[in-house]
Amino acid sequence: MISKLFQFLSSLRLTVVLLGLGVVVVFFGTLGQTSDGLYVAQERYFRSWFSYWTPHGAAFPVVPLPGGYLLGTMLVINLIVAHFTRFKWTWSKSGIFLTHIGIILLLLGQLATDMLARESIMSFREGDTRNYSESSMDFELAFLRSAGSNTLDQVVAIPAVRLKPGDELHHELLPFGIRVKEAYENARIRLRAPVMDSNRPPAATQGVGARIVIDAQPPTRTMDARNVPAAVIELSGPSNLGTWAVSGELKPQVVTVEGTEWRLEYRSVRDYKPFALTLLKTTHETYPGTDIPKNFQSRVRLRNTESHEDREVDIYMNSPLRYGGYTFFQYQMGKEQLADGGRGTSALQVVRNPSWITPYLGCILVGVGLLVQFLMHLTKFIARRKPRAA
Amino acid sequence: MRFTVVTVVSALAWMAVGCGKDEVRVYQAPQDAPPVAAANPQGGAALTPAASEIPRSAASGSSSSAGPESSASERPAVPWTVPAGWEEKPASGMRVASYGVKRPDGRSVDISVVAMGGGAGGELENVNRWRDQIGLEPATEADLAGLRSIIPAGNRQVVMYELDGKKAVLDGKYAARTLAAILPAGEMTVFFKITGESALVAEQKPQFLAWLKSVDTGGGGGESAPEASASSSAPAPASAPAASGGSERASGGGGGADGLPNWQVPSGWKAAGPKPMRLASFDIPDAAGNGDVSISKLSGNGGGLLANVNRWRGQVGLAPLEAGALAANSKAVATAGGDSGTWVELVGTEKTILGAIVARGEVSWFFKLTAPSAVAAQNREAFEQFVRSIRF
Repeated sequence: MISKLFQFLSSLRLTVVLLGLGVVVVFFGTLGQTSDGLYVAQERYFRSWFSYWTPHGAAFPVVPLPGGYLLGTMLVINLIVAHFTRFKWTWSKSGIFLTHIGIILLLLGQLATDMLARESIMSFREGDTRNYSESSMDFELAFLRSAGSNTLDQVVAIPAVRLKPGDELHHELLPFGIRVKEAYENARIRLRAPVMDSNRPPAATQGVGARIVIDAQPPTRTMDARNVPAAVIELSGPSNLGTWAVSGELKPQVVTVEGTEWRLEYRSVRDYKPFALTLLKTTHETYPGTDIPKNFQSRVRLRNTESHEDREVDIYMNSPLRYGGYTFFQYQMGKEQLADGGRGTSALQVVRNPSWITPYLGCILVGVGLLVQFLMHLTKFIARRKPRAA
Repeated sequence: MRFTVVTVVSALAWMAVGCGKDEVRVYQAPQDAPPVAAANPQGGAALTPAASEIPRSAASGSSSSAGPESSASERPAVPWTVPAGWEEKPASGMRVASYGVKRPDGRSVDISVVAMGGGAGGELENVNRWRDQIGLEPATEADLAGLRSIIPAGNRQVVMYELDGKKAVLDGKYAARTLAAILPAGEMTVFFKITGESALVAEQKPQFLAWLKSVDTGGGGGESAPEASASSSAPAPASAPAASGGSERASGGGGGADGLPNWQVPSGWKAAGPKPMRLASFDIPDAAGNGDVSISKLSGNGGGLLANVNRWRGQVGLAPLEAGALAANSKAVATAGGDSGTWVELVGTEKTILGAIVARGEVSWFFKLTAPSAVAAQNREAFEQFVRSIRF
């Protein structure tokens, strides 16, 4: 029974089936991307164990599919088990072993990247200093209060996915409970107009919410636009603190509970760094007579108070800044649209990927393995031909 | 065999570890730089710049700012003629005045006058805000020229925008239309707006334009440029001030041409530029802090004698009076024209208000001097003479 299992797991047929399924999943995932957008399609079809594809308008899932994790895991298992049951460990096959180890490393490295890598955006205007970067997709509802010293805040951040209408949230550090009354994946905030909104009450009873209405918008699935979520929450502590409207579009609001001021902000998830970058100057060059970008360059000042570093660095296309385990790539550049002439703006893509080396190592191993195997065959072939010629 | 088990188990473990994204995070972080926009005095937040016109005057009546009145709670002198058919509504929130027109079939329009400090956000931003309210896409700077026209308001020329929404945004049935005129007035900007059901607004347009023409923009001298000059920039010799940028009040007073009584202006008082909600203003320059004299008018009894006196008391930090105490804390004063007014002297810790309220038939007139206490004491005699010199 066990040996039958091993036979199945190590069979070449399984490998072929898995690779074939891989092609199928990529096909349906690509189809799915047109309606779901890149990010959601990746989550659904590839960062999952099982998924399904539904054509437009169908009432039930039409095509069940294995997810990316399942395929990858099965391929790795298949390869490793085959090595231990079927393959013979001989020198003549050493090249093939190297190649297979390279492939295993590639697969495992991709899994590690998926689990560990973090990508975020740091965007600022000339003169701004940032010691954090922001997620381009995820939002959090952050409650901040002064942490005693003048410069530090205590932050309790609730991920946006936890805000579902009807949910009740509590945290030991918050002096109030949070009840989510409304939650929107994408919404616009508008000042409440007297004639237009006479039959719509204000979004909330406290803070800015008392003067605005929330217009829900269909979630966007394109690459260039972003969903800005909003919610209406009810805070209840020792006394009822009323309802508050929060949105990615609003600036922080202040709730005072028993003498302590809490700021409440619905913002992109932040990743704080132990160092800060200040944008000094942006350079945006295009090829003369066209709009085609030639050079996006940001000059930043890197300051790390702990290690007493303070230096200026240029970040431009193909020349990122690597520091502190992060890599800062020049991502976007622009200019503020203000009547009095705005400052230049720059967005850096901040990537942290501990397993960045695995694709390189994996490919090198595969290449070396193939080379070794071919050379061995070549020498054997030449050796066999020589006596005949004689 | 063991190896396979280990592989499978570690794969599952990896999967479990990866799902940490939904946890509530707690950490300490350096504070952000303070936000650029000013915070609402109630401790709330400001909106993003495109909608940042929440004015300071939302805290009605409680602000005790020295200098020009900006609180929306002071019912304005009504320096315009209200067209027939416009119902007056209570002024609320940011509004100085509010009117409405309703039709039996449910269509309605809303007319508002709103005064805000400074440039009030800029023309493009305000136009786009109005466009957004009636379901229109935002315009660019270049589009503005095509949407605006210049019309007379009082004795000045101002910019007016006509915005025609096409979508059925009112009750799902009617399209909306907005006419909005922008009147810069000294340090403030005043918006006159009519918005509502499209056909009804078009029907009321002649009334709207006539109403704007009737607005008292306070200038005997008159200006044709939309930009008003700042207050009190003209030197004002003794008893015959001849201000170039604002109201001129010679010792003969306004002579009733714009509804103002005659009076004798004490020496040293400079006529100040036009301010919304006032019919006339004077500055009393003083090294210790300028005094401010305002003349305004309200219909009826303007809310009541006691209410107004208590409002002024609040502005200098004094506690309000009970109804019976008013008589003991005021005196009667007679004017040259034979009218009788109520005179109050309200001495606060830092500022003093001297005021006279004269009821004349359908309207009440308010003459008020606000100044640091020492300056007020010095000018008390002069202000009293001024009040006594009034002749309607």
